[in-house]
Amino acid sequence: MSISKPFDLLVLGENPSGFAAAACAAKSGARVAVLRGAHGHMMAEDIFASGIPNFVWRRLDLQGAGITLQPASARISLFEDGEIIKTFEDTIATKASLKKANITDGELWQDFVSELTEHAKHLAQINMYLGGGHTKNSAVFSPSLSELRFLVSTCAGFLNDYFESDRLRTHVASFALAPFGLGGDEPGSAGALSSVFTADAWPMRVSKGGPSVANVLERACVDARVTFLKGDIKRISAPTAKMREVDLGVDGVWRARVIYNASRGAGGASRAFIPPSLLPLDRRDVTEAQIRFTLSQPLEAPGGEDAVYFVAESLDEIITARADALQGRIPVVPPFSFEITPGGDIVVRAPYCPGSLRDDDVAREWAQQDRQKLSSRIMKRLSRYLDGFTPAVKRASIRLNKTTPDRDTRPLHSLDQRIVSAPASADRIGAAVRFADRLVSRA
Amino acid sequence: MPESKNATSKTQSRAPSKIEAGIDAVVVGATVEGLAAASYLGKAGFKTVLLEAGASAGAAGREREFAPGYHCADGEHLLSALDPELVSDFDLYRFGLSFSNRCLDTVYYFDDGAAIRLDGEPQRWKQSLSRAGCDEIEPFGDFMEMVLETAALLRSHLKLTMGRDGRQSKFMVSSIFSNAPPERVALIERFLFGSTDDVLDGVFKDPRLQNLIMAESSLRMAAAPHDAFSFLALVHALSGEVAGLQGARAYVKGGIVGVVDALRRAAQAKKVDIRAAASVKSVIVEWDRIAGVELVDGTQIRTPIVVNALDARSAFVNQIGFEKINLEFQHVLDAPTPKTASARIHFALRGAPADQSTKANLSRRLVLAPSRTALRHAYHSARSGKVSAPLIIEAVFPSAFDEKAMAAKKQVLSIFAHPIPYDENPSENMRAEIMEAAIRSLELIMPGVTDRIEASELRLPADIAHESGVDPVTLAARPLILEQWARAQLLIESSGIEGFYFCGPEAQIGVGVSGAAGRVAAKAAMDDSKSRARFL
Repeated sequence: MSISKPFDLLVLGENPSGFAAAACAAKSGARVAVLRGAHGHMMAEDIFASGIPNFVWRRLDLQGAGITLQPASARISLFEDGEIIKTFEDTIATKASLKKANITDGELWQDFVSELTEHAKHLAQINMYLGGGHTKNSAVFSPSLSELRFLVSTCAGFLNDYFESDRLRTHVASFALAPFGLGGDEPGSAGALSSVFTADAWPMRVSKGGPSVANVLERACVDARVTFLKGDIKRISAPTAKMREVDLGVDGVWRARVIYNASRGAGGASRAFIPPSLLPLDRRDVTEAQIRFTLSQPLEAPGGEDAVYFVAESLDEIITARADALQGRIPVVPPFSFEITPGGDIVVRAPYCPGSLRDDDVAREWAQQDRQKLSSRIMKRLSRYLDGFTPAVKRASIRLNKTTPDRDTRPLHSLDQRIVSAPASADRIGAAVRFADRLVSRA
Repeated sequence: MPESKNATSKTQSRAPSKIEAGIDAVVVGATVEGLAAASYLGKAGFKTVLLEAGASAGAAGREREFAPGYHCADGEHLLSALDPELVSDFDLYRFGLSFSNRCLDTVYYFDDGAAIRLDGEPQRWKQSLSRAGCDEIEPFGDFMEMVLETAALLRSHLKLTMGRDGRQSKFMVSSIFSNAPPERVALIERFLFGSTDDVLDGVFKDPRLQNLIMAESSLRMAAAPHDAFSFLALVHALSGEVAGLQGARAYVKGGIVGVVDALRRAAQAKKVDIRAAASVKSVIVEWDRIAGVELVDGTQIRTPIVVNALDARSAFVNQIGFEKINLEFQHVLDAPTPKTASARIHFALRGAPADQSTKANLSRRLVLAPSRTALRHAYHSARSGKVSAPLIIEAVFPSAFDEKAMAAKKQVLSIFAHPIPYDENPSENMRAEIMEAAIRSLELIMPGVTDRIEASELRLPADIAHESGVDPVTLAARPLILEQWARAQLLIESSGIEGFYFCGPEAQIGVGVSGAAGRVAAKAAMDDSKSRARFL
């Protein structure tokens, strides 16, 4: 089975973005494989996954797949003094909600969103162009001076230009930055804002009892005759200029024209370090922790059970948490988001955790007590926002979605236009599929 | 501007305001850029007046006695980019420009006490590493070679250009890539948009070499090495040419003052009328066209061309006025308040530091390169208004290049410490903390130096701004190269006022002075005036 006909696309990792990209590429006629890592784990994107964009839905004929996705009802920020800020997918509803909360900035919401949507178009263009996406024939890419300024500007700066209300700034920064693990004061973080306001970036929820997004997309891969491989990457070599060879040790040697890291975390799961996409939105050096709290009795959430909740008191708190994580420390005051699953559990995501911890500048892996430390900090914090939370907790399980190996231990990689990562986006599935299309048409 | 008060008090009698005509061009501000612009205009036969608010032209870079018997100047202590066109067009060497050292070697020091010396000539980096007994000489040498090559490739894309026919410039990314060898495209992409951390991922593992690169790409820059787009700072720094060498750092005889003096002599030789203590009150705009300038003493100078070398706020807001500029351009003037800065410190030393290493390195550039975590900590502290140590240090001994100081055995040590918080009104406490952090860092380069310090002077952006009247924002840590370039282009292209040309600090890209912005402004003024003449 060793050297067979090469794949056009070898997708790393098993998760919704990877499956969707693989299935769509295969449906358009490419020879595609998905590599499941031998020890790989599925990224838990399912709870509040970004939705499956319409164009993917249509291309994969998902109508009959038995999945129902419900948009989250709102994004809600909770504050310790009891104030609540609520924004909706619909701009008019958001304006009304902000008005009700006595935030005059609501008047600017429409302008804010439409300016960001405009920037998002350029950002998508840049994303398509860079990181292996451009070819000799691809469109001329030359951003204007103001686009260039937006590309390198900060989220905090952009929010300050628009809004007076600290609370509103904090709310928007919380939900825009969380998918990327950014702090908001770094160059390029304004791109997180535009990404999160693209059409398919609104969080979706899977209904209780139905199949998960990953399962449905995995089945679409099978239907589209995607090959599934299993194993860890030992080595990637380049026998010819247009071919890459992936050595899986006992699991064989495979060839592909392009090796594609379709989502964050996939590289880690297959034990290969694929450099993240170039633009600043890719999560680097920080890790997201996910904690599932199983409750003995259901709790009432202040804005309903279909909303996504965010907890951060200020922008500075986010910036500090990210800086802590970058220095290998668990944030003292971790900002996080949470959601209530259809089963009544509370799932918390803490986007600002160190990839590995550092004591006296020496890196070490997460230990059991570190995990406990983080979950107790979050539990303590959450109890201030949710009445009766602590006594209701029956069990807490924590998982780290470590995306890349630590800088000190990961191997050197050579830059290769044929080993590429999908651009980071709040609409992960859509971005992964579009980039795969580009790669396949290039090959 | 503080100086302007003196000017008014001398000529209190405002009544008989003088109107001067027959002037072809007025240049405001005798900075390196202003002097360069005036020289070009003078050379082209324009009757040019250069106005300087200070008591003498080019006073900003004057040397001061900061402790009895010890002298030092603000501004750059080393030059990494002096516009080669400017130097050759005026043959500045004829006007007294000379180099004490055309390319200083740099010695890098690390937290662990190790040191690496790199030759001042970039072509010889590989050889110098082999002397240091480093494991990754090959990858480092190849990498630096590629950075230099990319720097040369990018030079034409990141210089200032005047948009044609009122059209705005664009950042021609595709043309950068089409001019590059295909196998280099991925790398150049990284150099252009990646963070220093990203770029370093693929090249070498030696933490010291990584720290060295991080220090060089972050020094005096607002972006930390983990921030996207930060690596371009190093590429840009190495694209500069000074004394005929790309990527080198030179010590000009007399320091920055030597450059200003040579330029002033060149301007005078081209019959530029340099007027000191002439503070501009406003720029007269009639029907979106420049009509002249009005001085604080009431004098009006009628002229169709004004080249302004002051900071953007003075040039556009104070002198032209917000109401005269269009709305979109007001947005260009806005820039977020900086959060970080560098501290410039002069030390008066009782003789050279005792350690052998420093003694041997007096005429070199010394850099402390902290570890990745230390640097992350330093940046976060600075951005949240605190000071941490170690900081990046760039140290030079100006006295080692000065015969008089050598004879008197008086050593002057001049350093930049980076990053520190940007503060327009730093407290005494803050100043003490900055000084302490800088000295703690300096001790890692030259142990025991503290005992030799006779006097010291801390020069923060606020200090220099207060004395010279420039906008302190322009003295803060420099923004990303891409942002600097985009904003500079917008500032020079789109004010919408005919006959007005800008070459202030915001039109300079990268760290340091070069004279290129002044040259570009003057050339644009000359071109426009030629095409107008044809039209008439």
